Amino acid sequence: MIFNSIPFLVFILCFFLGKKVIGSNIKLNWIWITAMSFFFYGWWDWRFLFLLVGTGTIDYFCGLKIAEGKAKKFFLYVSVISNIGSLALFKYGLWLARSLDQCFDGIIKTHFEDSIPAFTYILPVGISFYTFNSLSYALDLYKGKAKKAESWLHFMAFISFFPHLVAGPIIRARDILGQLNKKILVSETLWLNGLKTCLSGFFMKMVLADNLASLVNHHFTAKSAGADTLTWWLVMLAFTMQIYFDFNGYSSIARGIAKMCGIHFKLNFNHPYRAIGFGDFWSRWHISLSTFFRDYVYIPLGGNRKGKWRTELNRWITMLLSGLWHGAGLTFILWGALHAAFLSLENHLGFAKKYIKYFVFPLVLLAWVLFRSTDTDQAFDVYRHLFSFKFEGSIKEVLFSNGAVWLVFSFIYDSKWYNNLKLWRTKKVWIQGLIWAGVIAMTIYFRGPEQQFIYFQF
Amino acid sequence: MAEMKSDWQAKKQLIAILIMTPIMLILFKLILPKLTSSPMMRDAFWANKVLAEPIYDAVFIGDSRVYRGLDPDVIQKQSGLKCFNYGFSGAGLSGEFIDSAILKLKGNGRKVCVIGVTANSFMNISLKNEHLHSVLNWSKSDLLIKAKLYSKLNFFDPIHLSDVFNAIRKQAYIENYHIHNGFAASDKIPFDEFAAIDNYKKLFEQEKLKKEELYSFKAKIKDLSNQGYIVVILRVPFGKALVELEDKMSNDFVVKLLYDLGKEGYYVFKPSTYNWRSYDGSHLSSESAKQLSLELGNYLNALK
Repeated sequence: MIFNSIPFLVFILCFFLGKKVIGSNIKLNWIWITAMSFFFYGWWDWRFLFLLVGTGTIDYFCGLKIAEGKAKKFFLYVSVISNIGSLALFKYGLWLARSLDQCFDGIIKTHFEDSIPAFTYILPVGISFYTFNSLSYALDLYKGKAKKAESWLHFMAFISFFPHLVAGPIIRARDILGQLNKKILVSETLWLNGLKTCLSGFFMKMVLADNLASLVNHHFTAKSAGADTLTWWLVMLAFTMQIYFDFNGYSSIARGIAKMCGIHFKLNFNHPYRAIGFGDFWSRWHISLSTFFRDYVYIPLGGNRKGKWRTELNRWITMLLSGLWHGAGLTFILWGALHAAFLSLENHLGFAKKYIKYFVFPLVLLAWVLFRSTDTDQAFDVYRHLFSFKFEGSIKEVLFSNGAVWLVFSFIYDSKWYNNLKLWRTKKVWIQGLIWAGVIAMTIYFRGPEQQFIYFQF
Repeated sequence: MAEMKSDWQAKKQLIAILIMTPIMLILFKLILPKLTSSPMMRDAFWANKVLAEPIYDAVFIGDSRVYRGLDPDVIQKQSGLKCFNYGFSGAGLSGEFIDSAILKLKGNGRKVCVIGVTANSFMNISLKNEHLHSVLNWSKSDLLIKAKLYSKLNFFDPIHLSDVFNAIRKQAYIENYHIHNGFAASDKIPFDEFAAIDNYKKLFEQEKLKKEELYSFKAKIKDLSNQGYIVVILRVPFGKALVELEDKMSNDFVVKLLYDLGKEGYYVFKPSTYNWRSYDGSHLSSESAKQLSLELGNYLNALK
């Protein structure tokens, strides 16, 4: 079930109706959240509920043992292996087997791909997100940074809470378990704020991202023949904004729904394209993932405390893993490597550092080529078009297209000027009503062709 | 106290949003141009094609020339056969496609397959039947929602900015989807009989016609005939300039095919020399589609 669909509209109405009936009873809330989240996830493919429940249950019991202080390290390893293992099997198993078969091709006939179980050919939606959520529980308990869950239901309500289940943000047990374990009274103000966050998320996704997607998808599926340099820069600009509004849209809807339930999710995007450096970019883009890798990979590796070279190595390992987390493919690894290179470069620029801000956006855009391309051949083809300086193609057609108009609007939407307009903060009730009714009407009438959220595939 | 005041303010805001939203929706609908082709009706149209029950006497198989050119209601009136149009965009006449079409025919009684042939339907790109597969890939719930709800919710149709530009320029692409029978009555304002020529030139330069597929197609219709199906072959008329181009670039592929099939004893329906009008060169206008359907209806009636 995706947020921008009719079944979800019915689902969310039922969810809040049920919540209203239950009131603030904590245990009934856990049951309701878990049951509805299972329904939400099972709508896509009920068989993978077993995976969610299975890994979740292992983590819950590991958590119990870690909290009791018995064989803490052993149970931490069990939790890490079960989470990373299922992620590796479903997300990387097939890719790794194929890559190995190709590697040995010509030397020896290997059949790794044939030995991969057929059920792993389907990637369970949101596996990268919920395994990380679950993993954070055992890791935080081990470090003494979190308290153990009150019960299996309490833990499952945290792990399966549907707003974050399939595409994040990655939430930490220490931030959420406590919130789920107290009587929550959602004030009208909080509920309205949540609704507004949701509505702006829907607008970002359905109007901005989906309209830009048509332009991007058309060029990436048409094998780029005929398009000239300017067209490709425009297409990549469109993708740069599409992925931002797509993912930020999802995160906002998730945060909004959580807020309407009285639960606070941390901000996942903070105007990343206004960053003045690459480090700054990563502190604004997919914040929940960046901080996860910082806290559970970079810092445990030694961070910047073990000398210059070790810092570099740690940075590269973290960024490569972050690339790999996004998908099983060379393009994602190269994307991570490119960002690692940008970060390294930024740290060794010395006096030129103050000029880096002018290069952040164009370089991030160029890195997105790898992220969007289906393989390295397509990525290099796009790079060739971007720098071929051929100006005789279809730019006129693209400039006056639906996507191009929305591209201009998406830049305005993310600009400081637009966000600081006094109009948005007016206290006048009817003007606020008019603004948000306008947002709803625009989302309905100007929505682009229905697309899945990009991050669903991760 | 401040909290209570803010909650009261929030309540008032929520009421304002609830009141203003329907007003805004109606206002937008009044201001924005009226759509001449509804995206939600389009989705309902495709979903219904896939979900159609096997209750028909005759099924029309082919690409967009078929689903824009043959109106089952008109043909049914003339022939008395219960008809359904199973045309899909860019469809190729593969065995798999024909098999999925004949599933719409009822188990007993007369079973008629009307197959519209074009040169394109034997090209590699068409034989993948990407459009048909994309619809078949919709999940069951998606199909049901689109088939049952979308045609009732088309007040909320999304508007493309190009619809606004077209309305200003007084241009329109009109598609009237007959959801119940798979026919789409289509027109364009203004008519341009040469609009599709460049695309077709490119297509014929890039794609090769597959002779092996022609043999499989012939084997398939032979098989259908042996099973008792009445197979009728036709070439849906289209713009004169494009007919000439298609025949020239395909080395009279369709002309030869129709000749061969006629010689082998199959029913080959030849439309009259009516002044067929195409709005883009490749597809019949709704008026011409009606005329073609009348002629085919009479032909099928005579076959009884």
